[in-house]
Amino acid sequence: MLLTLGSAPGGRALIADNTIRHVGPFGIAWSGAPGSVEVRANRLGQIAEYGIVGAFSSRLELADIRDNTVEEVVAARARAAYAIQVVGARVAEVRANAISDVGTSATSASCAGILVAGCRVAQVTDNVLMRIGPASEHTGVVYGIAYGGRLETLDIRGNVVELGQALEGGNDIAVLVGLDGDPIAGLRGMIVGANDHLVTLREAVLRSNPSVMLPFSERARTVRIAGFLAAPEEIGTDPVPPRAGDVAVVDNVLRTTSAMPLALIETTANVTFAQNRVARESELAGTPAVPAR
Amino acid sequence: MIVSSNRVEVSTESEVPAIALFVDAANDKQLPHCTVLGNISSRLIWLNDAPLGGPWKPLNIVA
Repeated sequence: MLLTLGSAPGGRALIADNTIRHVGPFGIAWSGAPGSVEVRANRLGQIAEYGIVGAFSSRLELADIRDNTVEEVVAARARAAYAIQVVGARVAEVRANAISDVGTSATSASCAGILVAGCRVAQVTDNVLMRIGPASEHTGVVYGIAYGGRLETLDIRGNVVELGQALEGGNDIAVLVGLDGDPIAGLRGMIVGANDHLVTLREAVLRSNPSVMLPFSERARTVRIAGFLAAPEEIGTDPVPPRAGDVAVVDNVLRTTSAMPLALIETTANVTFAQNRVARESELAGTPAVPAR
Repeated sequence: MIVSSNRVEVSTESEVPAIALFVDAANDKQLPHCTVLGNISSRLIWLNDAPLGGPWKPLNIVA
């Protein structure tokens, strides 16, 4: 099912209550701009490559993806498998989706449960992700929930993420937040031949939808006009500077067996990492479970 | 950065920290802009390449 959206700012598309099985390279997809897309209560199974996906160039006001079931997303010719991907929306809400068995083949080079990139406000809440990535040794990259690019607000809350039970060869990260640069550059030596789809997404948004990626300058200009802009020295000493953006990773359950971090956060934004239960269910020493920078 | 009330379980067989935080300090102070409170982890928490010190160390548990 492919939506090519028009240019009416108030345009709205609703895709609800469908059963989609045995298709590829996507189950539900959209491209174009602007307006809103709501994808609700659909059941997708045995999909090749992409379950619910926005094109690199899509420019939505609102992407609302909720209450969907996505099962058995398999890597095909591109060796990639992604259950949900939202790119370049002003507001992205990914809520209460059930995702399981994504990229379970050891030949998958890149797979993820939920990928979001370049959205001004992103809410990823109350999703359940089970068996994301291969259960055997592999050399690809696996993300449970990943965000790439700049933002104003990112809320990753109340999710359960359990990756495939890969043995020592797994390069699996349950939650990844990388606002600038390549978030896993420091770990690149551990990853052989992986194509980092998240970095590709972020760069695509920078090229095709720069307005979404410039929230800070716009907000600063608005505040300056209103006369509330703090002096530079006040910004420098504020422990949570108000215009730095906010990332919250709260109330999640994260489980992997990989030696890679369970939650990797690389950002210049204010970070709240709280009330998470994080478990590496293996005896691997590995990297720190939660590196945050 | 606010790091609070997490439970982090990793292998206890290594010296790798459970949580590794890298946070800038304020211009006129040496304290990093970070609170670390009420976490339970199976390995130490590190802040800026060193084990967590005061005032946060006694407010977290390694178990």
